[in-house]
Amino acid sequence: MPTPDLPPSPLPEPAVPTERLIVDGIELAPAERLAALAAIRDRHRAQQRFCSDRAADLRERIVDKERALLVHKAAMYPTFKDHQDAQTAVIEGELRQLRAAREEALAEAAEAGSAAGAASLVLRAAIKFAKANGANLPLVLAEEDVQ
Amino acid sequence: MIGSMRRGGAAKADAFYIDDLLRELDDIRGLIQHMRTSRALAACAPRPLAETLAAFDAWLDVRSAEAIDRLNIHYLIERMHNGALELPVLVGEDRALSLGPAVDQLFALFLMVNRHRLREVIAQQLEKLMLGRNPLTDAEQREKLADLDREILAGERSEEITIRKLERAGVEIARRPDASPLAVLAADTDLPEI
Repeated sequence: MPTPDLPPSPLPEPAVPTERLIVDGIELAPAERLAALAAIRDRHRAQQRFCSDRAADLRERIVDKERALLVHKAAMYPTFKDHQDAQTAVIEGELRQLRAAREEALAEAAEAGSAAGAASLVLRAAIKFAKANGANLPLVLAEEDVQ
Repeated sequence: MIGSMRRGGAAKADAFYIDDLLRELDDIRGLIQHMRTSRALAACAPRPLAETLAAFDAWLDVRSAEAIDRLNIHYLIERMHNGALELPVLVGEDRALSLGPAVDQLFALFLMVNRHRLREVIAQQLEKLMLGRNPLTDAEQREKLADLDREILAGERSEEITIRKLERAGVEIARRPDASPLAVLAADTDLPEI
């Protein structure tokens, strides 16, 4: 028995990010603006990582220098006392510089982290708002508001 | 030489432009803050005294009517009744007395008998409480909140315009975490001054 002709199954709609949306008479550009906000957040995060890495690197150099200083102070230079003192002063000066640089890197990392946090809050609120108003979001951002 | 002078002049002009934008942004943010404070004050503005007393009068009417109804005075006209009025003191299953309804009834009778004096005292006290505060009727409050919301949104859109101008000039400014999504998601074409 021949089967009756069935209507073709509907093709799934591709989830294209919404380019334009009107809310309360204001024209929004969800795809473009969310991407821009995410890029700002990512830049701050990258800056935070960069500064944290720099601080970690400086910490290693400080530990090395502190070790070098201990070794240098422990060494016996009976006939070159002045030379030993001068060398100690040089290492201590380098240590001061490294510690100051590390403090600076830590402060920058903290600042970038706080900026990334603020940017993340703005992004999440914007994603939630766009979703609530029926916008299709880029896949990479769709779940950001629940993280 | 001329080229480097021109570049120097352009850099100086850029610096002035950025300084202006930063100052403008500070001003706008100050204004938004001010408008948000006004909104918070409007949101918790008291009712006008007349409205408050009208509500109090309506409540007194209800309680006075209850006070009389619960006395069951219709029993008084019955020939066999001894003329006594009783408060509703209830005895529970555990024989404990429940005085709540009686106290409530006494309070209602007190309100009914002293209504005018009590209203006078409360009106005087409310007048003192209202000193320095701006009362709003419900309609006035709705209108004021709507106006302030519109102004805040306009301020936030100006703020977003300034931030995008700064971003285009290479200066990244952190948006406020409570910035309105209507402003941060607005298309460039909807912010005509950019």
